[in-house]
Amino acid sequence: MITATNVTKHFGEVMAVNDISVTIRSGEVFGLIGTNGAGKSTFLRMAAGVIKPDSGKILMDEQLVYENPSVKADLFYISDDQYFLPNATPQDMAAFYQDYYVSFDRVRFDEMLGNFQLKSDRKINTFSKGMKKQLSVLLGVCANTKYLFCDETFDGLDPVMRQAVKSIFAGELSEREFTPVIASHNLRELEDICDYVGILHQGGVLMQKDLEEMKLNIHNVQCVFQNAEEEKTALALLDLVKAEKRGSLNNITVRGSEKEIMEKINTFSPVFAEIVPLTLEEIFISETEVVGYDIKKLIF
Amino acid sequence: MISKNLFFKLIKQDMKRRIWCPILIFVACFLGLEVRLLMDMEEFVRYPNAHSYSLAVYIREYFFGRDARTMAIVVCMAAFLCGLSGYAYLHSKIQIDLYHSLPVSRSRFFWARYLSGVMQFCIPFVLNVAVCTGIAASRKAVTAETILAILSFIGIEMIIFVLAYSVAVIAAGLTGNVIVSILGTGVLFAYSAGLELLKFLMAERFYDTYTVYDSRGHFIFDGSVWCFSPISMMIKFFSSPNNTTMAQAQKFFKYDTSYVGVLIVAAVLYSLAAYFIFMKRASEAAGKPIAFRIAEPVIKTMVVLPSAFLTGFFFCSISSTTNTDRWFLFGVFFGFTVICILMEIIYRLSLRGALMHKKQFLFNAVCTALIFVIFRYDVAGYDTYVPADAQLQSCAVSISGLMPLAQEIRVNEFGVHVLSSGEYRMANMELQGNASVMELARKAAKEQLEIRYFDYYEGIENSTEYLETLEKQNNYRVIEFGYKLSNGKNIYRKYIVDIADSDTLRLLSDIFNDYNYKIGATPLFNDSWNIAFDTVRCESNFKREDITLTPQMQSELIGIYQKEYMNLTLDTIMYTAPVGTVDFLFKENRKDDILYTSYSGKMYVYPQFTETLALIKEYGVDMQEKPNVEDVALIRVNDEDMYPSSYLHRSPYDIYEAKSEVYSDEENEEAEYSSKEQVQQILDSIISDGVVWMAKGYSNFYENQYVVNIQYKKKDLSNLNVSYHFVKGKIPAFIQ
Repeated sequence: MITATNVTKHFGEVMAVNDISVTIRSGEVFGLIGTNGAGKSTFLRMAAGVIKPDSGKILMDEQLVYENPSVKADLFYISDDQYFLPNATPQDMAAFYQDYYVSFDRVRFDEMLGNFQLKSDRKINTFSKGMKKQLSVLLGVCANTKYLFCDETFDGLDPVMRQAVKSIFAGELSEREFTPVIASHNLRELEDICDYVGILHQGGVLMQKDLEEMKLNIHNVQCVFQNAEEEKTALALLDLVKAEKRGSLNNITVRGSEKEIMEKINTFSPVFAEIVPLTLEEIFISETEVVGYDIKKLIF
Repeated sequence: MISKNLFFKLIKQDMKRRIWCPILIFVACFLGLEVRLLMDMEEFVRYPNAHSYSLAVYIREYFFGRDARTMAIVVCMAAFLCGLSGYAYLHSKIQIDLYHSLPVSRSRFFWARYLSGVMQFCIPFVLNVAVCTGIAASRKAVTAETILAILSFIGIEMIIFVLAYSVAVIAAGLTGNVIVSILGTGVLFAYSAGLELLKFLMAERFYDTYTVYDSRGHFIFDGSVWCFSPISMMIKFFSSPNNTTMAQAQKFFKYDTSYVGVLIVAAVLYSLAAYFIFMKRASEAAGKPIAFRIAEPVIKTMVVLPSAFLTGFFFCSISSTTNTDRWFLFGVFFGFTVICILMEIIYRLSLRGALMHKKQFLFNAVCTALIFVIFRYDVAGYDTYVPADAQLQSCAVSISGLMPLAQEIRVNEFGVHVLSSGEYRMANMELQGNASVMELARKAAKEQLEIRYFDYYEGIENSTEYLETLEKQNNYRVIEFGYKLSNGKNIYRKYIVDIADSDTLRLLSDIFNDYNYKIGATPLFNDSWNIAFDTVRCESNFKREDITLTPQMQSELIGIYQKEYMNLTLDTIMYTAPVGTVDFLFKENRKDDILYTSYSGKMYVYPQFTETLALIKEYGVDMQEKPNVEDVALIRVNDEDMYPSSYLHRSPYDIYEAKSEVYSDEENEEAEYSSKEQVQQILDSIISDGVVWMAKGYSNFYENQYVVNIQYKKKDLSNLNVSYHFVKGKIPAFIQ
């Protein structure tokens, strides 16, 4: 488990990370969402032990990360612009990481390179941006570390590759202790990968939620009531997040389980009532609007 | 889990990644060692008799000894290459992200890289040295002593490498940008040498009494500035000392072995400083010009101030007038402004940053102005300082132009070493209990006489002010004092004194008449007793002869000469025409001719030195002998209406020069004399120009107006090709 407590980092006069406290549970895919400059990369660099927080602390399995090689042996950090040794091939990079990560699985790496149709002896500087990102993920996965930090690694990956990476992650999660932390400025990129999401904005954490829990606890309902009085009473009973009305059709976002919401609505024998699925985006928009942010401007 | 062998893996990895570095170093070492050695050996084969030393001696003493300084340049270049390439990753954010996220402690990472850099130099360097040893061995020029010299050579170069390498690593750690780190390396590498140069230039320009002694190798580096930069240390290490005794001068100087310890300590300290900076450096500094914001103003001030003054000196040197502050001040102002702006641009990496930090700009401007005022107006009282009697342990005095001292001595097969007259006297003279010494010092410090320089212009020779100044300055002489204080410090001052002032002359006379002055003024009386000179050259008015003496005869001559010299007074020097000079020489057979170097300089022999003259005569040279009138064909006397006039001006495109020129009227008269009576009379009253020249500073016994030339009937009757002057008051009536 990774625990960041009141972590702050300044770069000169710029406050990059402001008093962040986040908990990343082991075995979950954690998504870190935020606009450019929100502090995602800085947070990941601190979590990876590259830079030292000005204040607060980041613990990985209850040990400080910075200048702690034994803890760092359990993490692999893929930066937003991953550096490859000059003129290196995937093989060279594997050999390089093998020196640092004793559990690096060379056989698996070669196998996965084949699966991703990346040539092991081709110079990386001839790879496309997407290929380099794939290679970074493969190196990270084959390092067999407990934690894998990916900074914008999935941005720009095509859906097929993202699916492939997702499958790899799923496999890793089922086979060993594995906790990927993925930073992105685009929520849509992470929707189908992450279990848990934290939103960063202007250096601080806006919110952090379990995606499943979020999906289960908020619903969009389209309904038509028999008269205005019943409609008013019904809506008052519900934990409304948002309500819109077009003609007689109510389009409402409500907190609570599907069963609980429908039971309350059905009490008033509506003319029509139906649960409509919410996208992750819509859930976030709804959630953040409640706390006073127009998230559409922030992360979409 | 971290591999136990990770440290060595890191070294291996780094060496593999930077393989171009040892390859480049190998090529440079190959050119600097093998190729150079082969060229030198070829010369030995081609000209086997051109050297007085063997190839083995050359390789041991010079190639792997003295010439370590040449190789040190290559070594420093290699160090910069290794240091900057090894730690350049600190300037790249993406590389930092990779390397600092790896499971290895920074400490281990630093030392692995550090060692890898050292090995990248060490391996190709040692390999090349080994090949050189093989080449030398193939010519049978390697002995056990050579092996020792080679090991010392490797050790010295390695220490220099570590020193320069650490400086490059420090610069890389202090900065976040490659260009700035290269500049930083240069500044760190040479900073104290630059300060030393600046201190010398400032003192020389603004302090009239400034003089440099106790210097090792180069006059600028007098040791008053702490040598913390590698270049200063290397200059100190490789510079031959300004010898103060003959024994020192005769010793072949490779490098200062007593300084090796300092170099080692400095190398270790610089390495630790590099490590400390690396550990304290924040990863986010990559890309920024400077890694430690706190150091920014300090660095700025440390660079801007010396640069401003050095620019001032630069403008002075290229301008046609240097005796005013005009161009100096312009240079200081210009340099200050430009460097300030440049520094800000470097720090901000943008032109917009040029005028930021106005407070610091102002602070630096005030400091610059203060330094200028302190030096320009001698706020510290440098020129007027004379130690109190209670502080003084002893004093040394060097009166220039009074007693000769040879400037260079061929001490061994590898060349000439310098025995500086001033430094010799400062080190060997101890005047105590002579009140005139400090009285003269105080008088000179109080009078603050200075030689005035004129900027040249058309018609300067006719200016009354100019001529009056020159006339006055004709009597100015330089005298140097070395104060040895009770606290162990040595302080040196140079004064101008006016010998037209009877009081000054009296004091000078008292000093000259002091036994300790004479003993300490020349090595001939001090440490020549066990030296076997090759030749003693006796030069009189009419001939020059070399005599070879046995050590016993030589000691006898020096003994008698010294005894008579001790009775010599300043009055005699000023008003008595010497009979001639004796000069103790070393001789060296060179490829094409014989080279003589003087140990003593030309020492005067006066008519009062009767025992000396008799002994020299006994050895075969009659210095008082005059040519036979019969042998003289004619004597030509030129009445050039000459008057010597020293003028000091700065020629338009040159540095200041003190000129002593002879002017003559257009209507010069030349007369020829051949009658026996006239020739005899002239021969009895002339003195050789060569003898006059040696005593010029204080001599007042000859006339300038006439130049006399003797034409002999046979060419081989005189080996001197000199002109003559008449002794004062002895110009024959038929000439006047």
